Amino acid sequence: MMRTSLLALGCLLPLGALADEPVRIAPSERPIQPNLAIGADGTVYLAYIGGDGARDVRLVVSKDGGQTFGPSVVAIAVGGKAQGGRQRGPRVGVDDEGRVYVSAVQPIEQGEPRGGDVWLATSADGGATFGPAVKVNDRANALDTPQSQRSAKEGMHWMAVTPQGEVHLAWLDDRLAPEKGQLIAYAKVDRDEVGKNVLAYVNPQKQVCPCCTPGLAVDRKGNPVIAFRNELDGDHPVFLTRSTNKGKSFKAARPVQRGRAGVKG
Amino acid sequence: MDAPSVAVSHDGKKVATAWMDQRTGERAAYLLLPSGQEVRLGAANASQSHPNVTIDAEQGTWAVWEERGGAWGRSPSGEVTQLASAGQFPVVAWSEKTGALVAWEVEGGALLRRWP
Repeated sequence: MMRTSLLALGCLLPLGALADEPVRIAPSERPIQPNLAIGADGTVYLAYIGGDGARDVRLVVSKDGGQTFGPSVVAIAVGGKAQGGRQRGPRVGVDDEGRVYVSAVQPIEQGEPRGGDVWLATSADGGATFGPAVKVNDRANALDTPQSQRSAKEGMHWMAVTPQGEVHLAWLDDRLAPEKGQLIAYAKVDRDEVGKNVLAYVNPQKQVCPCCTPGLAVDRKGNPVIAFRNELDGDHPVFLTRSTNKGKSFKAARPVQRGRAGVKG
Repeated sequence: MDAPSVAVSHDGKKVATAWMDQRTGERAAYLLLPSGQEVRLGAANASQSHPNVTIDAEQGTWAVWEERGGAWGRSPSGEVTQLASAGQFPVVAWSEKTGALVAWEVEGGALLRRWP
């Protein structure tokens, strides 16, 4: 009886994928920095840096709740030289119509150190194929600008998507150097149309934490909230700033924790 | 250094934030719940890092983090679970169809699992 039940279960679940057992993603591609989104229909999307030899920003899709994944596709091509690590990986989001969005900070023209510009690629067919990535940071528009002059060269960003398909991104940006160091920049992208970059937070002292990825979330009305690590008087406390006008501007940032964070940097 | 993580409910009324700080001298992860209550994530005698957070449709807060070389999670009920004995940079997402799913990086790869 027990044997019969287990055989029946085996017919329902794919081989090697029991419900609560971890599933290894694209093992031959040695993926790093996975990021995760789930569609309204339960489809699971996982973006990462990896590949068989050539490493790009890739996506795999699961139609069975994460038990099995289809073959990977390149979401953002970086000439096989994608860089990442220490929270510098790609982000993925999906809207209610199943459009899939993958973002990453990468030197698209190849051969440069990590970081560069913020890129966003969109799939209109559920992650099967992606259109050309659009550049989100509006500083240093020419692709031949040296990587050292790209405003997002630290390579740290976060992304979130509304159910309607508005894509919200925040990243470390140093466009005000040398007077200021890293600041928090933000932009919204709607159907590949990149909105004006907004400086969501500029530290009056000098800069935010220069090596700390910001976090970002957005509600269904399209109002983003950004969490970031600041740099004040030798400490690195975490701050929040919100927008109530769909990202046109941000309210004064406030600390999340009470007292000093005790983080020296 | 560790990124903070933020989540917002669909209606925009609830915000949860998770982060690492060293107020006590050690690296410890904290969660600020939408209620305003601050919770230490993980064991007091261990260090934590790289927390990530999401809010579900019932406005429950799910948090994951690194601790003792593995990935750990806190459910909306406050239950703490070891999700993986080895791993780093865990991320959590939730949907009505799937419940909570967690992905993380391991040496030479990435893994995903359901939670609980």
